[in-house]
Amino acid sequence: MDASTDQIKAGRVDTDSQYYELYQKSVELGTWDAEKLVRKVGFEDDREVWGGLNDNEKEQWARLISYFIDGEQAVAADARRIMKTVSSPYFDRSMEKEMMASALGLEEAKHTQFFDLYLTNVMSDKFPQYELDSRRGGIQIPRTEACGAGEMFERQGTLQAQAAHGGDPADIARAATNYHIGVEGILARGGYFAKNRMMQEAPLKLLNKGFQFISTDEGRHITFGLELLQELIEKEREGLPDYQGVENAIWEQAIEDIGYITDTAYFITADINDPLDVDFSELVNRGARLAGDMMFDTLDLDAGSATEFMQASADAMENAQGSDYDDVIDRYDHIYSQKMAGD
Amino acid sequence: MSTQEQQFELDDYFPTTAWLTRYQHALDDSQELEDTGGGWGVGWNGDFVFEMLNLPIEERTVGDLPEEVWGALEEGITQLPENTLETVLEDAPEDVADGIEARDGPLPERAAQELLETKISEAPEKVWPGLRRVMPDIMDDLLDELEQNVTDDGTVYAWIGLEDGGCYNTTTMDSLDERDHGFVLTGDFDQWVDLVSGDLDVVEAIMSGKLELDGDMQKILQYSDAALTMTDVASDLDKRFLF
Repeated sequence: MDASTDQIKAGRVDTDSQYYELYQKSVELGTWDAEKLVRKVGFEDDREVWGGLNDNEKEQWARLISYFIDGEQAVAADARRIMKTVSSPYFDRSMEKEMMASALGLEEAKHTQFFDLYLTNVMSDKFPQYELDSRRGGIQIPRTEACGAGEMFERQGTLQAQAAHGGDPADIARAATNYHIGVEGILARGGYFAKNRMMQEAPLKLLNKGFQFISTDEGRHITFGLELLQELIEKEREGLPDYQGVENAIWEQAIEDIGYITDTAYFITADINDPLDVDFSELVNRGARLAGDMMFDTLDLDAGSATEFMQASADAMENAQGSDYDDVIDRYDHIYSQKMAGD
Repeated sequence: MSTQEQQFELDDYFPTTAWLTRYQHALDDSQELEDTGGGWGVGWNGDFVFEMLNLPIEERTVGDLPEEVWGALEEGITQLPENTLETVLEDAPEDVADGIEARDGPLPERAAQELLETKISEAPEKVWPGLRRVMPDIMDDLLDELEQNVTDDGTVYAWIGLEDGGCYNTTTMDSLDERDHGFVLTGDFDQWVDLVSGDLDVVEAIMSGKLELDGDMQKILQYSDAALTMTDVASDLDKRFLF
């Protein structure tokens, strides 16, 4: 008998669960090693390309990578809350969810590690201040603090805490929408789109390789979050009283988050004249499609209005056009310096 | 009154240049567009192209056109005196004549049936001047529309000139390159039917990939109410769909 194809009998773990399948994929595919990757590919080529970029081009990369490193750290930190949330009595059969949530936690930590290594060894001239751990009294990188992403990550912490500490299904839905649809599904995947565009002009090989692993991991996390949301939506549609309001909560959160995301999109493109040709319009279009795929196709939401979603994005763009991001960055640079000096 | 008995003008039918002209006037008369679109296209190109793909011109026949159109054609042919019809058919293209010949039944019925079963894409070339003279005007006009405004691959490019809350011109084009424009909204014809019927939310359609928008999103977001008004005006306008 071929052992590789033989079905292994399991006991208490439900191997037919979709959450188990995601967990097993994480075990198989999510075990890449950030240290091994940087040793294998090396920093040299990336340093050479980085050294050839002008300051505007470096600034565009710095704005993108800032929100990735702070975002990865934020989602890694909140993974412990997700583990708690998925064991909530409002979910069925949570053991496989907890297994997947633990895999998610490990992967997010690894993403943070990768960006930390990369910034330190390649982009350090644009990041004189990034090493403080925001959970040890530091703040997010000034560039992250200056744009919607920073606010979104802070909101994420609040929502995840509410969901984990006795949150009802609507609280859990808000937290999952923010984390899996907003941060991972639109902000991060929109970032991959921007990264791909920027790589055309500035091919940073190691960074690209890291992003490939990270985006594959994130794809599983997004699926995980959408499965969780579907479970809550199904119960709401069955008419269970505790679950009423789930769809509305998802819509409300999505509308709040699209403001942060639009601001971030503007911050990394139009605000600095887009030197590496990401194209704000195409980035917004990409984000809209990603949101539409998740909310209309996968979740089949009918609670909200796409127009309201667009209006929230429009309002955020109008605010973004009037923002002086450089001034905000300067202010946070000052605060960061004080924190580093131990004031 | 059945639709066959009702009279419709060319500008009742979507998608035609005549309907597009009605749309132009409705946009230009819209107080809502004037309010929400003030400043649109001032100092930059605010003109739109509606790119309608995959009109079913290969799949559908003349007999699939709205009832009153093919009904009038059938009636026009079957009511012709037989000797007049024979004279008309003398100049028919060979494949049309062969097709009529191969059918059973009285000549007027055979001739009508042959034309009703003609693919829309082939209709303009299979209809000869002699037949056009005895055809109802609406059918003749629609054939002109098909010939001039639908590309061989079944695409219609409707160009909408928009500036400062008004619509100053509309036309159809053979290709996207024919006229300058700032924005292109693209989708299958089926989606356009849903959109101009008011059954499809334009934002939801873009988000779900049913329609694709190409152009400066900063402008679209800034004038999102005007963009929605454009589709509202289209859906409020009476229309009959050719397909």
